[in-house]
Amino acid sequence: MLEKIRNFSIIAHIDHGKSTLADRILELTGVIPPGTEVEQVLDDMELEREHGVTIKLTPVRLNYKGYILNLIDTPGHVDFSYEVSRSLAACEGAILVVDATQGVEAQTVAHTNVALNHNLEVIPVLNKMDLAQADPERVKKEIEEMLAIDTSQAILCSAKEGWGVREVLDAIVERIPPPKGDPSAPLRALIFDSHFDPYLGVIVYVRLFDGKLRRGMKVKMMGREEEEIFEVMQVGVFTPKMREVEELQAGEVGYFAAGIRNVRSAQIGDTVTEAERPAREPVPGFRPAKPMVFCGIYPSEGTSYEELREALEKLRLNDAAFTFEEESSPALGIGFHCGFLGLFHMQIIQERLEREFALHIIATAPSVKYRVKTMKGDVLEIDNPAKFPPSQMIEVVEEPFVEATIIIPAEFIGGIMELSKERRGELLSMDYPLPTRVILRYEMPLSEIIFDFFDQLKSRSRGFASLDYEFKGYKPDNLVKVDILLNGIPVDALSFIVHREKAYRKARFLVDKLREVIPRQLFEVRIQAAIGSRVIASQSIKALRKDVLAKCYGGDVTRKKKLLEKQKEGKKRLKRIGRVEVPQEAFLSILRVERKQ
Amino acid sequence: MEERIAVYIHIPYCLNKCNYCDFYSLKIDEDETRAFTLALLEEIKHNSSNIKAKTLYLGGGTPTSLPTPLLKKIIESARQSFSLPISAELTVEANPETLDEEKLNMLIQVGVNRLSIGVQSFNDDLLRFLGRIHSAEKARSAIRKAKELGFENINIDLLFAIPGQSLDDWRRTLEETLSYEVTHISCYSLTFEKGTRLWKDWQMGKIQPLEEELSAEMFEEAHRMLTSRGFAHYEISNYALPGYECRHNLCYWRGEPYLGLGPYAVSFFPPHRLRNPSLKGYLKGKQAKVEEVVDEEERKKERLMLALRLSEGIEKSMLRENPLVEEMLREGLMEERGRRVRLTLKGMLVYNSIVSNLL
Repeated sequence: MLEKIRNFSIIAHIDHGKSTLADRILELTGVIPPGTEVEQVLDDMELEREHGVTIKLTPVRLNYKGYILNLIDTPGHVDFSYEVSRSLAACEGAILVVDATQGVEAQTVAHTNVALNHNLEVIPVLNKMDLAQADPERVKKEIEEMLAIDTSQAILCSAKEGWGVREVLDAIVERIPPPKGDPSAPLRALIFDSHFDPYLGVIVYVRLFDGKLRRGMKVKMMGREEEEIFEVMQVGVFTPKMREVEELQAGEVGYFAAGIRNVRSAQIGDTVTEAERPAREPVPGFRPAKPMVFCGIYPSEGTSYEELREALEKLRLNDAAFTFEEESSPALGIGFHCGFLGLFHMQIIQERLEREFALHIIATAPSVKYRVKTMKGDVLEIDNPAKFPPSQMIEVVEEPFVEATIIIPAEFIGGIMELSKERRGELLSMDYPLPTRVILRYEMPLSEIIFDFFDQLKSRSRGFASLDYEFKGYKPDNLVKVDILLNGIPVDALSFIVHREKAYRKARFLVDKLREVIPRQLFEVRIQAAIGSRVIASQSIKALRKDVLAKCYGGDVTRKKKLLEKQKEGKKRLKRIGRVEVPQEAFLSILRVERKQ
Repeated sequence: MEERIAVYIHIPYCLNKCNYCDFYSLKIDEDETRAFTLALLEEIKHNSSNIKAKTLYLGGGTPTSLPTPLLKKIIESARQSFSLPISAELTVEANPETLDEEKLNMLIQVGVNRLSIGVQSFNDDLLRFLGRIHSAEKARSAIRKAKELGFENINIDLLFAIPGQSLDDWRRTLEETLSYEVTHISCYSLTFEKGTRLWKDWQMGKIQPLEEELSAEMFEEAHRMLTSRGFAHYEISNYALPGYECRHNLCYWRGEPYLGLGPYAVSFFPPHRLRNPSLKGYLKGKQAKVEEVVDEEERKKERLMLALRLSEGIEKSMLRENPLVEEMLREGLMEERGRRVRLTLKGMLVYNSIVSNLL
């Protein structure tokens, strides 16, 4: 039985053609009719298609030449590297898709390393061979030099045109080993994803390593501190639609439902076992989802707090890595402090709130979680600059650091090193796997990466740079909190944490930017940036001088009234801080400032 | 006895449309003026049974662009139909180009006692820029003629903040206006209204509105010069010698009812505000349509918005609880006069912002 199963993933850098190849594989195995081309079946969210990356994983069971192939998709963005590692942990092999016109990129390296660490059989596939710029020899060399993978059996393919796809399927059968496992041992099933179904509760996606899973079994998750026992209500496989089966056995991939109400009860990477006869060891590598980037999300014009809360709850149902809690800001009112895996994850959530739920929101600038050691010896974890203690109470501030891997064509090295230095990066290593390619490894504060570092990388390398990063730990640095005051009133939502050396410049930029975006008002507005009580930058917006309707007679009362009412409506969209009316745009100024710098 | 109300008659014709004008006006078509006059006389008659006028105001357009006999007929008919008292204010708007002796004599003869002359500027370059058909010289002679023939109550309309205009130029225009010893002066800040030639030129980047600071200084300069010569700054854009405030326009600013006749004219019979059809429909005898139902809430808003244009201001009790009012008083944008509040000069300049905050 196990001999006839192959569990595999497709790994690739963004845009190298993973989804297209998956579509072709589905067509060839009869899962979808040929010609469903544009619909990339596995990416089921509109946003994924737009961003060109997969966020949610959808496994699918395929039949090919008497074999059962389980394709476990992986998300394509650096924010989701942990999810990728769990997907790969559920497989015995991986198809490594490399764009034959581009070559090896940062995520190619990162994902391949994960696959190799899990002892996966990696099958290199050179995609986009239909394009004239395809350079298979160069790319093969890169794969050998940069990934240490033998390319003698690399498959040349054009997923778009459908060439070489059958060879890929044959290689899966021939080269990827079948799963191992003991069906009679206690259940050991790795959770690699889940989604929430309104009728069945959480649908848990699992790969069984040992044992069996069938209806009526009592199961629990080994990584949970509080023990929760669930009774399995349904077991099934993905075709890719959910199809109920009698049982799942060691080596198989499928799902179960057990009336689980909260995705947090079945987190990605955790191991499902029998309640009565637990396995001795879980599948290694579980790490509870931990948000790394935070921002405030507040309701704005026409959107109520309740609507926003409901939407956030719905999103959280499907996303164990997304957290939120209520917070109130004197400037923005009542809203939510939200946590995300990374900036991209944050953008996805913000966009879904606006598009799927049609809400109007104000999101504050993102922040990381700082560790503040106080004079009293307490250690505070603070992910909201507004909540920083006064500077005289702080002994030291530590911030999260990552190890960033940047791959670029050698010609761009100067600009990229300059950028990394600006972002307080410390060079760990510089390798030339090929004379034309450089791999830079930096230790860098996460806070420097979350503010459009990636966009900057791209723009300074004409789009060629690729980036991957991994959380390393906390390090102390000379960090200060800068407050922004409007007519002397601090605006909590505009406070930011910054390295002392950069404080002056950033404060100056922000103050200037605010001067641009805050409209002139009836009264003069003073904008100040301060560290503690010391003002480090200031600007003022002169009071409005002339704003008056010249005429209002009998014939135009209605029209002039509407005009003034429109002006009044415009004011509603402004947040009033003291007597200053501040447009929402102002709260995004911090982000813009980073960009300008 | 019935309350008398303000009656307005809209004459939609002009010799030529000015570049900045967004009023309902059309180039005069002599052949059409007779049909128009008949329709208007019909409308006057139709409304006369239950309405008595306390003021009569012929605006436009350019009422004096009509052939003298037609205009005469209209005024006579309206006076009589609405039983306008002999002492009541009867205003006719005029373009200097249309004011010859014959017309002026006719106006006096039918009882017009207030003439509002659209002078705009005494600078020929600016007049050309505005698309006015008359010269400064023509305006001068029209004013002299009107005074000579016996008009005692004359308004002169002026425009400021015209692109290319200097503060000195504006002072000279004001000074010259004062020299004619008229009773009323309107000083309008030039605005770029959508759909006008001026607006198009601005959108295409051919012209720029005058810089805000200079335009504000011109507003202040008018206030200084005219008030020092005995004029009361009684409405944002209007100045009058004591007793010569325009009674007709005061009705609008005080939120009182009014009847409007002629194409596109608006009437206000609370809670209804009605608008006549444009000329085409008007000539076909189409009726006015309700433009807006002004309920109590809306009426309050309108009172606020209109009264704050006036130096008499508004009863303090009419303002809703708003901490901003205190701020505005403190900042010298408003001032208290007994139980009333009004905008200061500084406040008038930011009327829109203030009103939109208080609405």
